Amino acid sequence: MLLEVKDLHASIGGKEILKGLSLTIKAGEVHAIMGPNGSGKSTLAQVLAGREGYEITAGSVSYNGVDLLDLEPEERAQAGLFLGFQYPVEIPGVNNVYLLKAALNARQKAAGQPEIDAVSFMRMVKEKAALMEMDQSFLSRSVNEGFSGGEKKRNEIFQMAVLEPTLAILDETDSGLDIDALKVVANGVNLQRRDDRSVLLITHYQRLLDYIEPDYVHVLANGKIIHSGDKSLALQLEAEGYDALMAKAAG
Amino acid sequence: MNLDPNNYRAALANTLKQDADAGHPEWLLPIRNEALKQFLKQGFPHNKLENWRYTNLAPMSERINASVAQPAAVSDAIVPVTDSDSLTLVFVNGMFSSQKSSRTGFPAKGIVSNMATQLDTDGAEDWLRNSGDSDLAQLNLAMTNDGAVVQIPDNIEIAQTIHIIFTNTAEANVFPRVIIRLGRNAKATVIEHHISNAACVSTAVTNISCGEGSHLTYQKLQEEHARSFHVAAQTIKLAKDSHCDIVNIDLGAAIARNDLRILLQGSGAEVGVSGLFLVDAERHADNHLHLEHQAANTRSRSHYAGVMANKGHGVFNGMIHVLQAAQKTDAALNNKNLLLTQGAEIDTKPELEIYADDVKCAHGSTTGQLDAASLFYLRTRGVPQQVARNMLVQAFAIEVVQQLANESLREYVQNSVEQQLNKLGAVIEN
Ligand SMILES: Nc1ncnc2c1ncn2[C@@H]1O[C@H](COP(=O)(O)OP(=O)(O)O)[C@@H](O)[C@H]1O
Ligand SMILES: [Mg+2]
Repeated sequence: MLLEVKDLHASIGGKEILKGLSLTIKAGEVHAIMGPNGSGKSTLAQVLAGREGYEITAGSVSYNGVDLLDLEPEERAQAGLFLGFQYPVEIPGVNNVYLLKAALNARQKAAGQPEIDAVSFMRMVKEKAALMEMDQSFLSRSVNEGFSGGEKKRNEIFQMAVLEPTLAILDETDSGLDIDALKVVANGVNLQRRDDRSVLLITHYQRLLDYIEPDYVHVLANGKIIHSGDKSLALQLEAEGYDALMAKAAG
Repeated sequence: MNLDPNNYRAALANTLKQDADAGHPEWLLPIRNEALKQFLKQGFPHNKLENWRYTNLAPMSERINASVAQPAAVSDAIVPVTDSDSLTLVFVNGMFSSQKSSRTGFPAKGIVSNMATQLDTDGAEDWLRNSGDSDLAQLNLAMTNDGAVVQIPDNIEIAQTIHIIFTNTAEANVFPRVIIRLGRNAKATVIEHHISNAACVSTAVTNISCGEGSHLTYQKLQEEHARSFHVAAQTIKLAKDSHCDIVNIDLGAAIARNDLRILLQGSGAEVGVSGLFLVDAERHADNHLHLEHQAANTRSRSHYAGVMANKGHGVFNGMIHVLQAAQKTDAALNNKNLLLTQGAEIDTKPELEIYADDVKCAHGSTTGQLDAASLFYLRTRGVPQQVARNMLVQAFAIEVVQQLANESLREYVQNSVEQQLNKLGAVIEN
């Protein structure tokens, strides 16, 4: 079991957002979480990545057998967790490649491995950028500064491609992308698929799932997974909307 | 403030003896006597003066004593190399060291040299008369042993960077002096670098004049020992259509104070100033910037970045002063500050004083903390918290650092900043 979330309750500012969420992801699987706005999708992603400010009032999260909630955000990342942000942060003055190098070296260090050498690092970074159809000039720019919405999302997937995480959580990486960009991003995610790597796709729209086929689809509403199924669930949602499912869950 | 004139008189006697030993010209003696008289009359600056409200020099005044000049322990001196092509002038404990300085590459005689060996040349008196009106400039004038003189003749460009290093190895009182004179359409890049590995007391004076149409890049880097005092008075005069790019970086000393006075005297003169200071509980930095637009169509852009950690206290006081004649002045002054911890403090005061009616002037200051969202983002990439913090502080400082003249100096400063931050990091609590 790669990730096991059990009955997770999380609040912020005294308001409960996640209300008993459970989710299990095995190595190699791609899961999609869909749900209406405000249902708690981003909250789940942020809590898993270790954002401060949330209070976990009940439940547990185990990742590769360790208590994820016990780890600092950087320790989670060093253990192979990656979060693609719904709203990637602009960081003027911090160079994109410099960040990636620091990130990779921190992971190497945590694993007791030597630093990566500069030449092979640059070669790898350039390959991955080409894969994401990103102009090389993006590499030397400040992290996300002045990037368009679509460029930011592409940059998230590029970072993922460089870091090769064991579990990638992608929070609405598809929103705001035109169809060509969507294909590039989906391709980046598909290249990440391997027997020993998993992906948790958070999305609002079915259309991403045309390009990335999930093994499982979950519906998150009001802080809980109310329904799980295979990829056909996404099509059903597209046809019927969330309301029918939510009514059923409530009824 | 308690000020024992005998200390200063003893110190002066020492300096005068050195003058005699060195065979310095006679005109020097009355200048020194007069300067000390002036200094003793006004006394050591103290907290009751508006200009010194936040910076207490009492511990410094106690450390100024008869042991002014120390023999140069040349071998112990830190001599930073930032660019192998530059022309370096190195002063160890206030005295010129030909051994540590560049041997070759100097342009024609007298263009770049040390002051003490040039005092018998025409115009030398001027280097020692013109001391600005900062509170400690008179003390420097009375005591200074040596300094750097850069005089670029009309229409001459010096391509190499001139790197002036004042390095101190002992608990010395030093009085460094830098004189820069650019002729018409002359061009030069000068770095004034203060560094020490012992607790010294440095009272520095820099006098610069930029001739018509000249272009000067002047960058001062202060990284004195953590128990040092560094008090600097810098005066820069700009003639018609001259241009000066200035960087002032303070990374060291227990107490650092810069009084930077910029006088835009000729129309079309332009100046850009970038400043950076880093303070913590043991380190205090006070930057006073005074921009005087005296002539029409002059332009200034000033930007100071302050980083305060632990219970550190930074001070910034920036004044744009536009005289009546200075119509069409275009001036902007901005100070932004980063408070890394609770308890850190900044006193910032950008001011305007405008007597002309057709001007464009802007000033402002902002103070904030490290952005939590940015910090989290970096950490989710696996970057440890302390490294992520350092990255963000470096990013904050980058606007100033990237103004530095050459790549190697930028790297040097970035490393110095990082070392400082790592030291701070050990004591920064969340
Ligand atoms: N910092 C916060 N303080 C209070 N409420 C918040 C905060 N962040 C999110 N919320 C609330 O939590 C709920 C879930 O938000 P979010 O997880 O972003 O939803 P989704 O990603 O599914 O659209 C929303 O009602 C939102 O308003
Ligand atoms: Mg969301």
